[in-house]
Amino acid sequence: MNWDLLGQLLMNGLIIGALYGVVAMCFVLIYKSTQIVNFAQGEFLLIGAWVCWWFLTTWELPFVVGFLFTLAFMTVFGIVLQTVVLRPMIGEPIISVIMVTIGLSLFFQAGMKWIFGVNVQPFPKVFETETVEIFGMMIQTAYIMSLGISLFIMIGFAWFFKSSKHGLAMRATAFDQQVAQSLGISVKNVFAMAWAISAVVSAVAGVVIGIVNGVSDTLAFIGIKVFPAVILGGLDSIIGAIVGGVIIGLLENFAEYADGQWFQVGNMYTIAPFYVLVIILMIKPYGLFGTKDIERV
Amino acid sequence: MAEAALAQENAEMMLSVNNIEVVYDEVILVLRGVSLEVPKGALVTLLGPNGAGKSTTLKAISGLLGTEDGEVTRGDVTYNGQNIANGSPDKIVRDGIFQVMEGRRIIEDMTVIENLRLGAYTRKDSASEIKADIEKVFHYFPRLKERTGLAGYLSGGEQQMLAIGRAIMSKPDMILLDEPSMGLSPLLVKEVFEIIRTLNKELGITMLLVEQNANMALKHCDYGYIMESGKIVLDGTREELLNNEDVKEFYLGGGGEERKSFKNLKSYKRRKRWL
Repeated sequence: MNWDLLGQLLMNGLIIGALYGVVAMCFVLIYKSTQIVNFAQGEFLLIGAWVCWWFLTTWELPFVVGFLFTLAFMTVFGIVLQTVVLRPMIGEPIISVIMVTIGLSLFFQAGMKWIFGVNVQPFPKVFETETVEIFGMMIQTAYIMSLGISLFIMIGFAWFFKSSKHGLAMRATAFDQQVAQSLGISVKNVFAMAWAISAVVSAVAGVVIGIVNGVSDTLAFIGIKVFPAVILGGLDSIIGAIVGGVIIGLLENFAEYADGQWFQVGNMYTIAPFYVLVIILMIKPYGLFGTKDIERV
Repeated sequence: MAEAALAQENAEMMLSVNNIEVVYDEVILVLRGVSLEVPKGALVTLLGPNGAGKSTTLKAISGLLGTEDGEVTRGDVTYNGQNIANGSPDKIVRDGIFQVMEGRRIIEDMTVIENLRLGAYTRKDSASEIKADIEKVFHYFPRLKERTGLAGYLSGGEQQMLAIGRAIMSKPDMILLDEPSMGLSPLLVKEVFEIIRTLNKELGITMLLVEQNANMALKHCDYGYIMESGKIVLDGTREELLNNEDVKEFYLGGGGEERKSFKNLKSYKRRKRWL
């Protein structure tokens, strides 16, 4: 056994898994509050990363300014997307709404290719790329930053839903829209807010990955990886999304290790999460943290 | 009656519903010209059998009709001089009318305190003021204070108390209560009604109460309306209603001794429709 390599891969798994968790959270946020399965989640990362890249290269803005502009853009983007495209779909059959989000996903992917080209573009150097040694493993500072940002976002989400008025309103809307309205909550605003938050946070993840790997349309692939994470965690659980994301990240990297050491079939990295997904759904169809309705006895 | 006197009377009414018609799904006519008035500070009750349109009347006032594809197609709902018919529910809550919906409808996967904080959603007050108001709710409902788990695990009575507490948190001028006695034991019903009366008196919250439990509702109200198949058929002060033979016979049990024959019953029915 090559323990060093395994450790390194598991560390990578944790870091990328945390990012999956963040994106999965964004997906769950939309699903929970608006009952829409958003197949365009990965494209949010893509758009966020490209827009930030554009601010930094074409406009040559300092990173902080460009990043803030990106967040502002994504807020508006999320709200406009919800109000213009998805609000008219309220009350339509779920399959139509899914077709719309799949359509959006294709539209955005093609649009980004059309505007920014198909080549991988490196981010301008934002931080010094150094490696530090932690527990005998060499880790790039960019990865540590990425893990830090993921944790920060997760804590932010936890605070938002537990303590802030708007977070509570969002949970109330997810639980029962009519009751939410009877409390004076504007459901339309909550929907717009859910999409805006989801777009912004996804964009942050997109920028983080872009800084590490460069920007290209492979970023949208994260959106596909999020599905095993989300379904594993239970479609409507925020905590489940994080746990699912981390598990998928670890699993991918462990599969890569196992493949390299023993099986030699190639590309286990991509497929393994989906195998495990199928197995878990056979054992626990609602995922690990899926809703069990409260029954008073 | 002199028009000046009528205007004078209207001015004191906090809420007046004028001859409203409500249609669901653009075809189903549910309310056929309902009018009622609620004076400031009063506890007014709206009684009637199932399907009479009591809940619909409340939803027409609170704007929640829109969430069920209903619409006020005629008449108006005047609240403090403003027409609020077909208004958006969040605006109406901000204006000071809060509906406690039928069947409690608390947020089951939140704690008691989170539910109460949600009640204060439309308020702009600071966290400490809201905290003080939560304590105030616990003063009226001491048993809620001990419940720290999810609200879904509360008993039916406690859930009803939480639903009313949540209404108080929004600092409303008026609460619309839809069947607070539903599914509660007689003892709890008594307790809940006493609290409703206390809140009405101590906090000065105007109440419009829809009930099946006519005994309890009439015991505590100032004024009452009786509704049947989409219309108000009778109204009066508490004493008038309690002494009315029809009300006694149909809603309170007993009474109506003098008309045992079928012929009289028919004539009674004709009279009652006319009312």
